[in-house]
Amino acid sequence: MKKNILILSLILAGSLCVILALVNVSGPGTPMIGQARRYTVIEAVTEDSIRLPASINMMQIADGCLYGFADKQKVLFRTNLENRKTDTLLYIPSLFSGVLNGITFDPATKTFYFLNARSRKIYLYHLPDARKDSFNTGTLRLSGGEKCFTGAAFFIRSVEYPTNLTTLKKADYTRNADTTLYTFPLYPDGGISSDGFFRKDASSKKQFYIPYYNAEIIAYDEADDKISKIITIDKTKPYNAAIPMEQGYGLSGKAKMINMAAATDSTHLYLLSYTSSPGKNEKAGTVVDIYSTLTGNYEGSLQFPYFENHPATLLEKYGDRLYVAFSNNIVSYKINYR
Amino acid sequence: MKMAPDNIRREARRAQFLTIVPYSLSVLFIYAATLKTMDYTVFVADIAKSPLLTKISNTTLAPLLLGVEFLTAILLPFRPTMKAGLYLSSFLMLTFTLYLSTLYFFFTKIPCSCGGILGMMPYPFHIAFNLLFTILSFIGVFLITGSKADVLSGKTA
Repeated sequence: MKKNILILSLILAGSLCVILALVNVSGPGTPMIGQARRYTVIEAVTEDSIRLPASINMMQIADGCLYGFADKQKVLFRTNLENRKTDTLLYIPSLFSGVLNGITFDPATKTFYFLNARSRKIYLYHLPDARKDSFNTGTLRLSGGEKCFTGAAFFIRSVEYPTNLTTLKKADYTRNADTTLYTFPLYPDGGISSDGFFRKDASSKKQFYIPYYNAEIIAYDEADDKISKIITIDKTKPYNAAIPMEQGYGLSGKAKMINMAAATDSTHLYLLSYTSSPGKNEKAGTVVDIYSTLTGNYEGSLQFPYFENHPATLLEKYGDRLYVAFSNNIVSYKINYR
Repeated sequence: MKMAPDNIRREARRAQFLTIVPYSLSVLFIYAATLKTMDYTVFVADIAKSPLLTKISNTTLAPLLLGVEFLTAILLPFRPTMKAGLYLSSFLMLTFTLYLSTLYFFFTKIPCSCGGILGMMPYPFHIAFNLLFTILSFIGVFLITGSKADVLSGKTA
């Protein structure tokens, strides 16, 4: 009897150890890239830090003010970079119920657009007079997008049903018309594998669609109405990041996130990468790779240590400074090309 | 020495349990392992999707798991190897129960890599099912000690 209890206790302990070991190494981990990063070409000098009232999910800088949106609290903040005063511009939790599919800012009209695919609406917040408005996206489905520089058009990612074909489109909701700019490889998963985010640069009039799970960044030049690609140094191929669920598809636990956030200026794309290179201690959320938006070539990398135990989550370029969000702290770095 | 009627009945129930449970467990392991073998590519792909098995090669784990399942199924029905089979079964069933519970309560509810009817069970039902067979394996370990099966295998309590 005692021997059995002992052996069964060992079996119980063994099973628990196996599961604890599995939990300990769970998660997709950091993908390893084949080439070494260059850290000697570009330098980032720490300038300043700002503490916001909450952790933000969107960061935009315009006219000397930093705008941040905290999705959990559904609050839009504004911080004056000169006098560092922070005020709340918007607090409407009822308006943005559910997950927002994107927040975009139009510098020409100084308007924020909040995209909500579930309600098929785009909400507007006009900065100069605090006017709020909304319009329906009609029959044009969207699952993320960015306001274009001219007219009323949006550069959107759209998933067609029931084909599950994902495309990048230029959509004009005022005319209920759209043009397909790029079609992704067909995944049957409702677009999960091609999921990503948008960034744009006002000076070069370029817009970028940056996928979370692969190396192919789609650049859209609105002036020339031309699509081109920037291939990141990890060279991760598009692959199916989804698994079948009881209802539809879900993101696989093994889906490795490659690109987390980005910022642009007239000539460069700053990309917060979750990959690490051989022989380097590059934890997720510490490496920013810099690409030329003119040639598409990789130029160099920057590494930012954790700030108050938080990794970098958002980037924004304003003048010669790169603003990096670490949870609710924003740190500005002066960028020097050597 | 003659056995009292109560003892005879108890011994008969124990013998009955030690016939039904190891055979049931053996059938369960053969069923699960055979379905996985028949749909081997899907089984390997399902392991690859598990967030708990990210650092473990699915091409190594899949044949290893099948090997252990078939081995357990072979050990269980035969009296000399029944005890070892019940120990192995206890370990496997407990590990599977904890694995499913961890996935269900703390991770994305990915489809179970068990084939056939087991793979179609809803998570809570599958966990309860596994837990039942874990308990039966544990009881089997206690009952086999000192039973005729243990004596036959040359061991004493």
